[in-house]
Amino acid sequence: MKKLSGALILIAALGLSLLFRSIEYGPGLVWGSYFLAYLKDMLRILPFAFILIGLFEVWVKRETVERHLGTRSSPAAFLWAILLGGVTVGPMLVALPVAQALRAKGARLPVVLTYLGAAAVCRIPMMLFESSYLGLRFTILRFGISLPLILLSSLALGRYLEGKEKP
Amino acid sequence: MVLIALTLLLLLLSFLRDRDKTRIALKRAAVKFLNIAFIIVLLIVLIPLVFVFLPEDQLGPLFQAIPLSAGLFLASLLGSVTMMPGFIAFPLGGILSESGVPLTIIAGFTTTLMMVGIATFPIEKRYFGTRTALLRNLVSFFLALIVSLIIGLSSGEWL
Repeated sequence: MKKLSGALILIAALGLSLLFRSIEYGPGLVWGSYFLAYLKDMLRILPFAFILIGLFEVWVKRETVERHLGTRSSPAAFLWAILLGGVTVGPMLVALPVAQALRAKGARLPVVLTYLGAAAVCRIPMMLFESSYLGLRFTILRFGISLPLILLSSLALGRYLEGKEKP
Repeated sequence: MVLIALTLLLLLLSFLRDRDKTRIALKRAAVKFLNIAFIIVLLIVLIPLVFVFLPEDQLGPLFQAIPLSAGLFLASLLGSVTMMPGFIAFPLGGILSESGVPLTIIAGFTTTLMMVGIATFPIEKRYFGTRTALLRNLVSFFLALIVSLIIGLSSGEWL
């Protein structure tokens, strides 16, 4: 049901954007250009990201994840989380399923939260892009301040929430 | 591009190693994707409406006219509600910066844009539960404010 309406909405939106283009309806063009840009971005990234997640779930053993990112892991787990966040491609929409997959395989919540934060603001390709528009200084500053704050807040928040999770 | 190449490569390796596992992996990927596909369609159709009503050329003057704290708060709010790929957000930020909008405000906008998501909240809620999703977004919001203020401070925009 949902899938059908979703597909219908999508087709309708595509149709509308074409219509707006042809009759040159101002606001419609604005909407259309953003919509198409988003659509292209999603299609370019989402299917492949999900395939990677599927492969991860099937091939990576739970024990491996637990050992490196779980409750018995060392602080190095956070380094891995940051690195993984740094190479994540795509918006939060991609990072969220990845984070959930990690969690399902036994990663600790503080580590997963660190990954989410890092994937949000420390993505390397994105930072390169950012520095080209807003300056290297801006990017470095932002990165340098965000990262420790993300670590600290994820640790605190993760610990707090973990405590709440045990029923 | 790297993503696509890497994915196809790993997919191929997986297929050669174990066909059944690969099929399962693809099935799970498809299921996960379809689970959130509807929300994503809604997002990409509805969020652009924000930009229809947003007067981009008036943003510059607006943010310079109001006090910095108000501008920061406004920009952060806007960033929290919107969702934008980097390749749209940063050029926009660059233009605003050149037309005089303080870096504090731009930092607030871009950071909340990436870290906080009212738009992605339903998905996050589904994956991690309401409490975690809510708190993470809230904490990220304040984190963004702090980062922006420090950037502004070091850029001499206040104090």
